[in-house]
Amino acid sequence: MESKFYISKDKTAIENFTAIVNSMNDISVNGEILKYEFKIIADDIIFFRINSKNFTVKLEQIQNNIFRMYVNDELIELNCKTDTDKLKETLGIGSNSDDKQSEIRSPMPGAVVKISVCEGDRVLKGQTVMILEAMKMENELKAQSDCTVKKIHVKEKAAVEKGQLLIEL
Amino acid sequence: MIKKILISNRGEIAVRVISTAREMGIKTVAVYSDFDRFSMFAKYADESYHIGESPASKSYLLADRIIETALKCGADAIHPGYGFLSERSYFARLCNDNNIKFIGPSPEAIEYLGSKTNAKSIAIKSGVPTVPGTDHAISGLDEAKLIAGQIGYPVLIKASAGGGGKGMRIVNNPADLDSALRLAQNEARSSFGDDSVFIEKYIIAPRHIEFQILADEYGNAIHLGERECSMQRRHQKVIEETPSVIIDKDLRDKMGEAARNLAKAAGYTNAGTVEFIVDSDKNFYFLEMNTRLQVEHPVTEVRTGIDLVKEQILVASGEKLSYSQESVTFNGAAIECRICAEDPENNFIPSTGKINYLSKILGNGVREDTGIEHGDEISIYYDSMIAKLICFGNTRPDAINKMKRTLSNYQISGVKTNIKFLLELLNTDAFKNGCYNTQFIENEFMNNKKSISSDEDNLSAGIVASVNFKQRLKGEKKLHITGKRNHTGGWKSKRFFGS
Repeated sequence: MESKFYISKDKTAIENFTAIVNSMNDISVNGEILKYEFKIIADDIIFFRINSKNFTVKLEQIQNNIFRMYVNDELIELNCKTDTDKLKETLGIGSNSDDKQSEIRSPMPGAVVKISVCEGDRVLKGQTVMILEAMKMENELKAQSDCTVKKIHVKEKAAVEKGQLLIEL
Repeated sequence: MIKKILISNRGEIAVRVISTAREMGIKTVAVYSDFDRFSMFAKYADESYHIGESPASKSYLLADRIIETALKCGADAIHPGYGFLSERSYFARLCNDNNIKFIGPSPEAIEYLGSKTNAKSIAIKSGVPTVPGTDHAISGLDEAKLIAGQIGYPVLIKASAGGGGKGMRIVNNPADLDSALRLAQNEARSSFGDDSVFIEKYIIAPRHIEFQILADEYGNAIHLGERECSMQRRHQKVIEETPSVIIDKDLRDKMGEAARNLAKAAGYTNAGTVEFIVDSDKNFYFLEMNTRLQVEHPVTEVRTGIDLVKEQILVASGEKLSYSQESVTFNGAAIECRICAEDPENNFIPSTGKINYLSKILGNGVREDTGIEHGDEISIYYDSMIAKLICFGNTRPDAINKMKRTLSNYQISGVKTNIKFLLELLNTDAFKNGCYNTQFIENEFMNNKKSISSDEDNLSAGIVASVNFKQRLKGEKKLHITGKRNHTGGWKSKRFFGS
């Protein structure tokens, strides 16, 4: 198992920290020894006791190396890489370096109220492409990046399931 | 005195009503849909009856079936909660026709006050200030243009039968009037089956402040003070508190008196809420009257010590109010936050799923009203509220601090929630000072989120957490490859302790 990790505070920034795993419960970060114990509370909630201080972490893995978490209510986003991850990056394999969205799927079961775009339309990041109704509320689905609408898979008033493909970009 | 109450509602409000009824020695009956067979409220009541399928239109909105159930089980009263049938006059009338006490106002009062245009005219008659605008549904674009010109832009187009922000449009200049009118009418028709709308002056930077009233069948009406409900997102209340920092005793007396007069003029009985908007010069205008118990009623209860559901039941039983206006006292400060299953990072889309972890520490001065427990599913069928937290302190900062500590330790896994969003709101200067209006969240907060530099300890913990995650992930992959993964437990259930 690899024991060296490089951590930066956002996706592109320089590596701020180097962490060396000494044992399962002992990590050195930039030379400082952090002894810790932990308990998995739920899928995304992990309790840590680090040098006797208590932290509850709600953690989400956004991409292979990118973690988004709430540590005692503070939002922290970190990029955490191993030597292998770095090698993969230079070779251009593994996690997709292109952040472009290729499709929009329904985030919940509901009904299509309105489709605001047509096939072939150029849409900008943040633009509303569709309105879905669920739980008595109308919800706008927005494009996560600038892109072009390739194909629309649903019609207005259609009932959709969670995860159903709505629009290809 | 009422002996057995059927609650024609679900979730936290059904639990809330059952609690008080039980304290009063009254038997309780729950009605439930397919989805709610084993929901908290359906287990909590003394008896429960299945009334239909999960969609509300096939269960909680079936007035006839609910009445039938009440007759079958011998309930002599129905409490409608909020939402569903609570403000449908025909349901109240159906109760009366079947000799079942409807715990709420008369069908006539619901009908009359349910129409915003009628409510406005009764306010004018009883000398309560109203926002300049039409007192009738407008006939079309020509009339809309004429009236908007008279009262001056910006104007607000509102559905007569509306609520929750549906069928509502702000129009800043004459060019936008045509399309806004059409949109508001469409929305009103699809949401309420009634496309009548009216126009009024749009108050800039308004506060939404409402007064709780209680009235009996003997002409007595009292008010229980205000609730500040200006912290809203898309016209949905997010945080409510009492007292409001802008209301002093004089203004409270004046607005409370106006609310009482209006209730008396409408022949109103039972609990109700008179909503006002207050402009930056503290002018107040009547907005509408809600003829039911409100979601945010607990802040009033903890500040006055009066159990509103108990008073509702007593009034419905034909008793006189147990309080006079002089005997109502206001103590300390109370605040309520609504914890909802929604994703603030993704335009507040409702989040569905199974709650596979739920943990909280309530403690001194904290009340929780909820109908959700560990293992429950948050579905698309009903609203996304998980719980209401109500915190009470001697001072407003006390109450806020209690709310912050409680929210910080409220842990849920399985659905996304607005908890962090609520904490961020509580930490804004605007909230701390009490200087916010109904547009605060959309106009200021969402655009000016500050990124705060990380606390060093938290950052260290974040580093440990991400390294630890990758280590565990690698460990899991290895186990998969060698086929030695323990399927009964797996690595997730193991505890790791440092030496």
